[in-house]
Amino acid sequence: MVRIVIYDDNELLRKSMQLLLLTQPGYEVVAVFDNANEVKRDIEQLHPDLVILDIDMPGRKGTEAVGLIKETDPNCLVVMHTVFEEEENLFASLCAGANGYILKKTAPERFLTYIEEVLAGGAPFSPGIAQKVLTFFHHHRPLQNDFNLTEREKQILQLLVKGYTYKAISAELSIALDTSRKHIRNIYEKLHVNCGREAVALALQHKLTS
Amino acid sequence: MFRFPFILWIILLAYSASSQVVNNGFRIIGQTEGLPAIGLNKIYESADHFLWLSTQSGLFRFDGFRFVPYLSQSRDTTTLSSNAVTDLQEDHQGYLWAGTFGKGVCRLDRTTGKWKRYLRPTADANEFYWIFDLFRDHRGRLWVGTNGRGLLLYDEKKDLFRQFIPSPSKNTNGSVRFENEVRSIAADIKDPDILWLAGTDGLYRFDTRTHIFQHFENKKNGVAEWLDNSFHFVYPQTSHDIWLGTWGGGLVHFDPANNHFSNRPHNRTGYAQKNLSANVISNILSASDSSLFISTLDAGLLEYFPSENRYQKKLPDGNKKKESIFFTGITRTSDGSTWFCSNDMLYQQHPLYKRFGEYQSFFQPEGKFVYKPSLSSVIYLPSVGQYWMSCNAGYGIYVYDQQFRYLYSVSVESPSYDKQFRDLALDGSGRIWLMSLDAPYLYLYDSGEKMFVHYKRPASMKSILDLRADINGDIWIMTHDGLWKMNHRNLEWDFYLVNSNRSSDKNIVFRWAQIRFDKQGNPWVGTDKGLWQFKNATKAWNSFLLKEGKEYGLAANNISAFTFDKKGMCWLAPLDEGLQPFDPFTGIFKEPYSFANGFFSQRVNAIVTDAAGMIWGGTINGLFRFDPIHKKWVSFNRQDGLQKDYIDLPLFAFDNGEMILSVDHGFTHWNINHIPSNTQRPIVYFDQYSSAGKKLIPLKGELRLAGDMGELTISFGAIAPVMNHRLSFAYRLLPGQQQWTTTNDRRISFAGLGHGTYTLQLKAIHSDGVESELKELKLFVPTPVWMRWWFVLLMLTIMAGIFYIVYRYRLKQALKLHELRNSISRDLHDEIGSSVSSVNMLATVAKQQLGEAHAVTPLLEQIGQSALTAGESMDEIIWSVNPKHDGAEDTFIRLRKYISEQLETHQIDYAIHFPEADAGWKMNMQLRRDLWMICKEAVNNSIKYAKCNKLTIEIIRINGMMEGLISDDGIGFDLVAAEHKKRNGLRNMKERVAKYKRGRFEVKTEKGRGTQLFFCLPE
Repeated sequence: MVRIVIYDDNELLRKSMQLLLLTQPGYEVVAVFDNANEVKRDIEQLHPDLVILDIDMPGRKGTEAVGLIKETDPNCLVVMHTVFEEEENLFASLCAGANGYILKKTAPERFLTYIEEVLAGGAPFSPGIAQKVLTFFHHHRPLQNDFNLTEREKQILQLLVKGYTYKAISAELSIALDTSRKHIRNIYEKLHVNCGREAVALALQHKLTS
Repeated sequence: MFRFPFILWIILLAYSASSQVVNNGFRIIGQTEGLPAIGLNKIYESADHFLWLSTQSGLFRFDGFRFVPYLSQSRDTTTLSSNAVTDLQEDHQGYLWAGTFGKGVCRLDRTTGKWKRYLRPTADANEFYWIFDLFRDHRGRLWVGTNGRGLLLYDEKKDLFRQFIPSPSKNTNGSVRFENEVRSIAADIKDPDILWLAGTDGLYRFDTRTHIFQHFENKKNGVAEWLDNSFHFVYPQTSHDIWLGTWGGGLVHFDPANNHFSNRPHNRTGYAQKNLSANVISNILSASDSSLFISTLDAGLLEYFPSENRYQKKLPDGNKKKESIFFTGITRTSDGSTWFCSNDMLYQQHPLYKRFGEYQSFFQPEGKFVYKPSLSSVIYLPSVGQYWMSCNAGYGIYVYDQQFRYLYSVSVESPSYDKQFRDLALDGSGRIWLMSLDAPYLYLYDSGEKMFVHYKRPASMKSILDLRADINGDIWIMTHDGLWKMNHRNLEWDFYLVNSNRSSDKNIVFRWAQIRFDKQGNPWVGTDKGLWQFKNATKAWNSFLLKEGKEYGLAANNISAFTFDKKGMCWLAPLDEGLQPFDPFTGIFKEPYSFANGFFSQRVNAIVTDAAGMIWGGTINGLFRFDPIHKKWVSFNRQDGLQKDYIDLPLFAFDNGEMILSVDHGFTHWNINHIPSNTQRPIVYFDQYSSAGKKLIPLKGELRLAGDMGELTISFGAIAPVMNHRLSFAYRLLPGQQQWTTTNDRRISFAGLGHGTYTLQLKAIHSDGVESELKELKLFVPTPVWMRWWFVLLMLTIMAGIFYIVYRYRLKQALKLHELRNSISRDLHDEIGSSVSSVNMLATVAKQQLGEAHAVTPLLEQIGQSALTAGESMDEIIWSVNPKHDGAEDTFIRLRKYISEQLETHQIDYAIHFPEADAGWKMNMQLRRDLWMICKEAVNNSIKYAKCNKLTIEIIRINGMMEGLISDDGIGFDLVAAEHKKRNGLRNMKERVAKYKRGRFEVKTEKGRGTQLFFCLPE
């Protein structure tokens, strides 16, 4: 059973999500919390496999909680579930080690797909979010290095940046959809490694001042 | 506390010697002439030539014009210790020492104006420390004569006084009178290291090298009487003549060669009676090689002739009433003046004060005149070198030789009532004519009888107004109605009745007339009714009368006097109209020299041309000499030895350079070539600077002014002991003012000086022409604070700061608002987004539990879809209002994502071509939303209605516009029907495009042929 913990301050959504996940076999929602203030303790006690984490909660923000979860249990998967598409939240989450970033407006079917994806070792991101991440890193490439991306990965990155879906990428590059997913996953990992706090700080500074 | 300097400032100005009286070569300064105090002790000249007057009531600095007080204030120890100043002496360092009556000595530092008091130069029990004399020896040492403390020497290294006691056995602290008193100190003529000390118990000789005193007593029959030994003053004149002034014993002579005293009392009776209030001598100074000035307290100033043992009284001379006979100090200053102090007068003797010679009174045949005669006419007889003078109340004609020594008088055969002798004239045949005003009579000198005899005039000659000989020697007489001319060869008369073309000139009667001849020998007559010209050639008359208006005419009809200069120009004195030039050749009158243009007098009473071509005039303000070529004039008055300033009597000039001025009782004469001129350069100085009643102090010759000051007043003066009143001043302020401004006021005021550095140049000019050296003062007016760079910068910074703060505040407010909006939209977003999401999830859960077949499932599907749409719409709105998303790139990415997702979800093939969006391509909120909505609407229509398999969307940039083409391969639709149905989608798109100036929107569709939607929006 996949042990799932949900953090969300919206009671209705918390319950709905719980209900939705329960419809799926193999998922067990072991706990739901309306805040992440005691996140370390929660994780230590519950040892979840997956945490669905809202960002805007009273008290400790989800972006902060990601790091604490990963600190406590590096094997625990964390999916951000939020309405916010802003870079600040996104990058903070990613850099802290979030495994996925799902927007709340995502259709429930797709939501479940993403959960599945992340459990399968993928990096589920709402398509727009993926583009954002890559756009950011794309724009800041001169500052960093090229993150050891392969030519193919760079190509895919370019397309992602332009708003192409996985499918469109696959079509464009004449590769299988799974292949492009794999490439994208690699891209994230490479980026993730290079995603230090400094980069976030720089990114934020850049975004705030421009 | 600030009141005092202001009051002092007023006082300073009050002591100007406002007028000057000169009499018999002495200038007299009493209180009416500005003397600030009485009880004068002495005049002292400091190295810078200022004069210092010590009195019983203060010390005064004097420049010849203005007295500046240095007074004691009991509470201010930096002032004099006492106002009773007995003596002054400047030391070699420039300190001015003052001895006082009872309060020791004081030393003035003239750079600071502060005094240092030495109330008791030697410490003893007696508080009363009277200083009699201060003396600087040839080595520069300062010696002090005291009351009972003997002789003091100032030790400048230790700043204290060493004491030398002449009679150690006697009292040494001044509490016993006439013991160890040193009243006067003087150096020996031969050996200046020997000092002679006047003691009240005898004469002392003090050797400054050995400090040994030697005592000499004036003994008679072996007895030293106090009367003969109470010495108050010692004056070593030669190595054999030491003159001593005593209290009661008069003048005493001492010969150091034989230690012999001899008494020379001026009041022998008083001396014989041992009268202590007679024969009191306060000062002695040489008057000439053979005489001494002796100041006495009982007989005024005397001149003593030792060889004759004779005294002559000099001052007071009785000219002023109530002059004191109590005389004190005598001083000779470097300018050649000798100054005499009396109790209430300061007298100055200087050669320039008698430069117009001495006045002579007419010989008085019978003791005294019944009337006071004054000179009315004088002729010079070159053949005998005699001046013949007539006077208005005389007893005949007085004859003087060339040296103006009286020779004799010539009687006139005249009735007793006719003593009003007027003009004398010498005709071409050597005859001397005389006229009298009263009779009127004409007299002719009879050389045989040696008297003037009555000469029968023509019967029709009813009056005689003026008599004069022309250059040919013919005699002209002006009467009330015309001119008479007598040929000197045949004594025949011609008469020319005054006659002109003007009707107003008919039957004219003159009351006053004066005949002068022009260069051509034509007679002109100045009258009480204008100026008249008689032309010898045509025998025609021409008249010039008062003319008012723009052009100058004769300034007044009453002509007091007139003369022709060497060039033939005429100079007139119209009554009360100054001096008026007139060109007889052209008949043009010029503007008179009068008060209006700076001339010193308005009323000229007499004018003559001297041998050198200068015009001399007598006015009610003094005498003037006018240079007709250079148009410059010099004035003279009582300060120059004239009897008085109000001159209303005739003036005469002769070819030999002599001039004679008629004065009361007699005349004054001088030679134009021998008038001494003042050659002493005045020394100008800046005195005080003030602004708004506040004194300013210059630093290193520079006066720094506050930038915001209003008026600056600078008072100045000039050191000129003689004729300081005759100085005028000229100044200019550089840069900017090249011309000199002249002023007689000793103050300048500047107002509104702009900022910068100025040099004020000042000079003094004596009326005799001698000029002072230039004196300069630097004025620095700082740039006003508001004009200085740092202030401007500061203000700019402050303003920028204020702007910035305001900007920041507004920004903050805007940001606050923005933040609030953000936070609201964020919360809304979060809240609604979450809720909508949960609705969707619940619908999904319900759907799954009910199964696809359940009747409610499509409803649940609908619920989920609506929720999704609601969430998306909100997302869009929030995205489009967020200014962070203003980049075109953002929009296209989002569009691409949206379209891809939608089409992928509905399994429709698609191709998207968006332009490359560079970072600089911005889209405003409206355009963003319009582009988004058009594309969304079009894509949704295709998905919902077109049943298409493929959709192409292409947007390109052309000429600053965005052109979009969205086409599908669907079923198309009836455009007209669609329009008719008023499909909101199409109309909305049209309306969105129509907002833009060059916006275009087109739809091409046909049933079964797909749809092409074209739009054009600005970039």
